[in-house]
Amino acid sequence: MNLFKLFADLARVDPDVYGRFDSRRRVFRHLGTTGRAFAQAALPGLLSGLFQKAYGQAALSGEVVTVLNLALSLEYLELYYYRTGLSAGILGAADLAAFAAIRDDEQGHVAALRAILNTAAISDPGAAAFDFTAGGKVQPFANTTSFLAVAQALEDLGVRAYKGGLTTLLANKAVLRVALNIHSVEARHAAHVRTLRRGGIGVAGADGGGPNNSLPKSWVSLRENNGPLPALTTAIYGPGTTAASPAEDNLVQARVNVQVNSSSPGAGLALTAAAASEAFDEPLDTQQVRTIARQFVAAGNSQGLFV
Amino acid sequence: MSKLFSRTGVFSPTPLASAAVKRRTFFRYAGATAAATTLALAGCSKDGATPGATDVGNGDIGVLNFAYALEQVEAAFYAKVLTGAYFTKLATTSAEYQIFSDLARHEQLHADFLRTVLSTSALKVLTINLDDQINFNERLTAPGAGKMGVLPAARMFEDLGVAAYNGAASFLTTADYLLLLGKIVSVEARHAALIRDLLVASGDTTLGIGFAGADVVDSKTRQELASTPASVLAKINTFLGADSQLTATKLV
Repeated sequence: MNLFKLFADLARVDPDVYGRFDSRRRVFRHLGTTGRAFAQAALPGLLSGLFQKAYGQAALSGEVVTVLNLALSLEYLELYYYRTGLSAGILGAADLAAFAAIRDDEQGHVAALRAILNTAAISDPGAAAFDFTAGGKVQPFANTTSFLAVAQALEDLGVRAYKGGLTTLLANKAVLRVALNIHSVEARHAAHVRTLRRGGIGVAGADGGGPNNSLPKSWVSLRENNGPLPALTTAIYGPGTTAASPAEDNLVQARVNVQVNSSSPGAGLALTAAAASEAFDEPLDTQQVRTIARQFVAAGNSQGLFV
Repeated sequence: MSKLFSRTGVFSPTPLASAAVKRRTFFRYAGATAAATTLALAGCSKDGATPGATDVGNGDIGVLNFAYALEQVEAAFYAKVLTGAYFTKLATTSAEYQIFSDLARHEQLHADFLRTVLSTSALKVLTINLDDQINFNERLTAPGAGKMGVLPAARMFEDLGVAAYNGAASFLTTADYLLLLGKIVSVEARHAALIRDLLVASGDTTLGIGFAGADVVDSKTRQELASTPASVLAKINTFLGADSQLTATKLV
């Protein structure tokens, strides 16, 4: 298929064709001119859904599909993790109820993302596609402690991942709203898991999560001393691969050092670096999300997850 | 309107008004009238439909001011919690002392931050009235009591905040602002989840499982139930003085 002849032909019957493509306008301006090499390099990633959207069929941009399928992959990871954990015989009654609710939420999120993605959604990978030991780093179903440690890792990772994908969804308001409304639910999950990990609502959390992250607050504090399983969780609280994805101990928002910018709310409470880091959760870029999540994929990765 | 972010996504803030000034007194006396501010209300306008009300504005500035208004109220609430008998009687090593200390700090941080980002486009300091509806000496709402206890009030503000951020964010047009509000909303959700768990442990049966009950997370879609800016302000206005009523007629 000669793409450039295609666009040239289209332009003959539809003078407005270039205006219909709502992304990368400058790419199309260069079609058939000296910018061909650039346009040619950029086109393949844009073609999926491009014509459909331009001519009225409901479709999502390639970027949006990528972000949503990454989210969907994470939701499957969580869903199968919780399903497995709930039948492992390690949880007490209260935890069983809580994690059943969490599992139901993840199930709903899978459904929501599949509905948006339609035929562009990845296939259901099935539980066997995952290795919940992350290559032998942990035995999550051996006891509640290990189960909760990985749960915290997955939920905090999920919050960072959704947050990292939000700006890609800016142009698609309906999809953005769904992503926001899933993102905050994951944050609720994360808070509950952290509360359980420190010993419940009656136990005070420590700045930075305490030694070995044994006393995590319900919010992310500094780098959590690298989390409950450093070989796995250091990256979850650390920086991503982009400037927009700093580590969780970041204090600068929009070039403002938020600690310096603020004052004690009273009662002699100091405005600590820990508090300043806790008040803002950080995003994680898609590349880093994939790198971390890939650890949970079973050998062989027959489904091509997180690549 | 100050355009804080350039097209390339690099944040280039306009010079901040009095950047070095600490905001402590600003919030301590948030309940006082006649705030000595000379800020130009560039993003705001008098709402003719509701005499005396101020509209938060439209676009990015409207959304940011909407968020700022919410954070002003939350910061004032938690600052007041710190002075009431519920908090002052807590052992400093206790979980709830730690929790409410953090909540107060976080909301102060949020309000101060939004105020700084908005700069000369910031909404005025609001007259906030919490005592009519909240009893800061009580942890829970006593049966038959006319005022909310601290925990129920905190839960109300936090759940409202999550619904508000989620309902307003899609009116933003600038990616950098969306990310900033995204960084805040997940923290509010963590706050809400914990306070709900505290309440369930104290016998509250209206919050379902707690951290993510059906009153905040839709039981079919399993997604947060977001609220429109107008509906959020209808609730927030009950905590604002007559001279500080707000509308969001452009955020629709």
